Amino acid sequence: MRNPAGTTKMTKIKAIYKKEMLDLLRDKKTLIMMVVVPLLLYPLIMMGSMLFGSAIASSMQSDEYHIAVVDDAADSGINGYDGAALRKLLADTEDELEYHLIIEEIPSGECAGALGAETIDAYIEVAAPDAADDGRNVLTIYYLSSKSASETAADMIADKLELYKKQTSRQILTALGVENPDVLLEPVTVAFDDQSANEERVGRLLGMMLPMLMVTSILMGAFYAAVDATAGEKERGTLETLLTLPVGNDELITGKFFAVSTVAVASAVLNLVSMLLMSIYFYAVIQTEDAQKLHINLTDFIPALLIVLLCTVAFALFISAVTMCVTTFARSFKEANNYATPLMLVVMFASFVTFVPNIEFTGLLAAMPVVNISLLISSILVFEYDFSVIMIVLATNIVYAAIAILLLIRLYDSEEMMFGEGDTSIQIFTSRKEIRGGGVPTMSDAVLVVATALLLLLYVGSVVQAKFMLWGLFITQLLIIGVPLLAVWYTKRDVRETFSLRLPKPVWVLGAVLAETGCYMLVLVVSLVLGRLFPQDIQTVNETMDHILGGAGFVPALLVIALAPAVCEEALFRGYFFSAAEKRLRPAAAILIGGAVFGIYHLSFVKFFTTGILGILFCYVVYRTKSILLTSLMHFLNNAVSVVAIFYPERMQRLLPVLFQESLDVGEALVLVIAGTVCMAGGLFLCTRTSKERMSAG
Amino acid sequence: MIQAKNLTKTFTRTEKKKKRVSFRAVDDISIEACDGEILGVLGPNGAGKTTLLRMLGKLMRPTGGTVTITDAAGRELTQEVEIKQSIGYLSGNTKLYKRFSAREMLSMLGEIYGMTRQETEERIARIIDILNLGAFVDNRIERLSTGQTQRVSIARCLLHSPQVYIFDEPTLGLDIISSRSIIDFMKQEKENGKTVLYSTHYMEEAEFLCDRIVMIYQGRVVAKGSPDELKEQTRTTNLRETFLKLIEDEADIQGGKR
Repeated sequence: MRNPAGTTKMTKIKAIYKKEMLDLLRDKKTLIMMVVVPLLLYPLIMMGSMLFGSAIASSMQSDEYHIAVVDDAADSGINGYDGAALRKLLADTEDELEYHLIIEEIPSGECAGALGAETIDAYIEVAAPDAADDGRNVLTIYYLSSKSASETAADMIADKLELYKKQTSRQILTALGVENPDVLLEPVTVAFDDQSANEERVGRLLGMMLPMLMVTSILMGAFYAAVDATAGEKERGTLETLLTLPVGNDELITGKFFAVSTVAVASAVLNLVSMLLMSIYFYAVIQTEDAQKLHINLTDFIPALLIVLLCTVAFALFISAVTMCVTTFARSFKEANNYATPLMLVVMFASFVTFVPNIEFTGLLAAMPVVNISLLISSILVFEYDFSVIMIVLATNIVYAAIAILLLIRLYDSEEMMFGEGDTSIQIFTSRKEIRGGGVPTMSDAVLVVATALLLLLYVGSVVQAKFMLWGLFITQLLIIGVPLLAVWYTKRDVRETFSLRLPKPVWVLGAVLAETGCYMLVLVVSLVLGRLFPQDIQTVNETMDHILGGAGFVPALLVIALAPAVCEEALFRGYFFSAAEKRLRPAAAILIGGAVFGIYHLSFVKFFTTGILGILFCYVVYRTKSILLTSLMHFLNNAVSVVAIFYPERMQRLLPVLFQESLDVGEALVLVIAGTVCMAGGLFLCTRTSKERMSAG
Repeated sequence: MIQAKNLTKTFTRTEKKKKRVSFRAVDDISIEACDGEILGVLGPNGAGKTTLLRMLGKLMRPTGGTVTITDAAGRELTQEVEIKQSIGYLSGNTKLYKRFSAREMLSMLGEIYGMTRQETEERIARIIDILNLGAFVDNRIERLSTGQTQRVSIARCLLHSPQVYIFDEPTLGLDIISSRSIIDFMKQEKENGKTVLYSTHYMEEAEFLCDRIVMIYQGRVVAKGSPDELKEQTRTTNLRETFLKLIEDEADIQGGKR
């Protein structure tokens, strides 16, 4: 009746695939994620942005700005100040500008108060001619940059003052007998003519936005299918049933993987279709409104679309395999959803690469997962085909998918994974009374705490840093340490154990300093190499730093940039997160993941690598010594050197010429790498615990 | 016939202070169950019954030892896939795919078991007859009652006509009617010359059902024999007392060793 020998692998895989597909398609959640979200997402985004745009436009059109002119003290300077002419220009409603300025008559002494009370949006003060300024009249515009209306009013006044300047110049020149003053005022005419094709222009715009949308939406499609096929099977108790069947893990995983990828590919295709339909509609609308601006020939897009489709399918395979790996760790839907946030953040972050200006799409980038597909979509939308790069993207996505599948097969081999009932639950959602406490946090708690801290950093940190600069950075650090402290209190964890609070031996301190020195050299080389690859990104990082420092003194900068992270970031990453990861995962995995999370937290593509290396070293030191005080010291030293370098660049350059120059030649880099490695190895060697110490520390 | 030789399973458990402790859940167990026989595997919670049965069903890899199945034609099977092909495995953890109807699920499983479509259809028709599934075979499993679901579970084990059945506490938490369908089924298959391995905590059930019993405690076999032999050996009158006596004796012996 049955014939096991005759049952080929393919038949079994096909049977599993069929079972999984039918199972998935009967689940409403998967269907919604796969079909409804992509079909609704883009039209909704378009409608939303159109509504938003028109709302802004109408609100601005209806606005009139109230200003005042203070020129009591002004008398005609060298160029003859003409208050009446200025007022006429300011109040002119006949010009091309769409918005109006209304001049309020306010006594000069009350203008500052009126601005503060927002009865006027801005005012001009015309001072007496200044002898130091060649006897010219100085016109100052007073406004509030924190109020958008005031800022707009100030901009408009500035525009009007430009007109006033020209008018005055014209009068003077005419008085001097110049026949055609305008030719003198503008000796040449500058004009712009954009030579790029319309498709390219539209493509560049889409190329920034679309990859991220596509990538996240495919991820969502794959995620729900993956959860259903892995954690879902555990939650519904059918996993053991599945294991009684005469199929190998490889056949099982392959069948499941193809089912999940089918859903991911379908959601990718639907995404593309939906996006395409929206684009066609969008262009149609624009073309009827302004026929001059866009001439899109849709057939030009077809080869590009086909390549995008092919690569998207490869990407869907990759993302399916990765999500399945992640969700296999979960035992229920609820738990799997906790893994969604970090995964989503990582993937979204990687796809942000398309926002980096002037990035060059090289072979190296083409081999990086998620980054490569984002850049590919974005480059193809501006009609830049490089088939070698496309091949790399295709091949790497398939290779990574294969690696992930092999890993998945190994996971399914692990009996702890399949039958394990270890404590991985999220304690933070349990009522505090029911928590027994003690020990270190669970992995799920750690993931949740880091995700919360990341979100706070993104949404609160960026705002307070923009507003309060250095103090904002300090507030951010307080948030970073606040989340794990609260979590430890709520779940009644062992504070000493969770944060690895343990006094180091003196020789360890020496080792830590040595290892940090070595690591600094290595990171320096890495950041210089990355700086050459992504000059724009490094520049952004530096500009952000300069902005935040904003003229603060050396000591406050040292405290906020070096000391605060050494305490707060260490507590979160090497304390809360690493202690949980170390308990749950194998040491190597815990250290690598600890480093990667620390890298991601820095929210910069280049910094991901440099701080990732640091993170790995710090995790390793805590792993070996169980003392967070050491990594706090290392972290402090690392950041302190940067602060000193910012404040005293010349002195640092004189002291350590190799470390603080703009570029390195290959020889110097090699020396740094070797010296750095030796220092690090030596330092880590010093940080060894004797077996007795290991026993006593547990 | 199913035969296990020197089966051992070692687990490592992470205890307090990150100490990795390894312990033997199953410690050098050799058992065999013959065709036309119901072998009961009894023991207190944590004795290693489920681990033993999972290893027999090839759901878990043993740390040491072998499992061999001799099929009706006398062939000896040792490969994982072959063994799984010849076993019907049922436990409290083998739930069904609720989004399917019984018929859909069975025909899909038939495909995985390598049966042709025609074979599967004939077999399903026959099973519907045997287990009386006709009234609900096309309803989604999530809409069935507990008893009906239990019958579909049995149908799942029966589908590929295995030589050996392994039932891990199949009647746990079921009412008398539902558990009777399973008990009747085991008796029926025994009559058909199949091998049945069966673990339970219900001693009365085991007493009248099992031809032989293997008593397990802390991963080891502490007694073997027919219910009557065991009762005689321990000078007790029912299996419940036999069980208690055997476990107490064993605990005394182990306590004395320490």
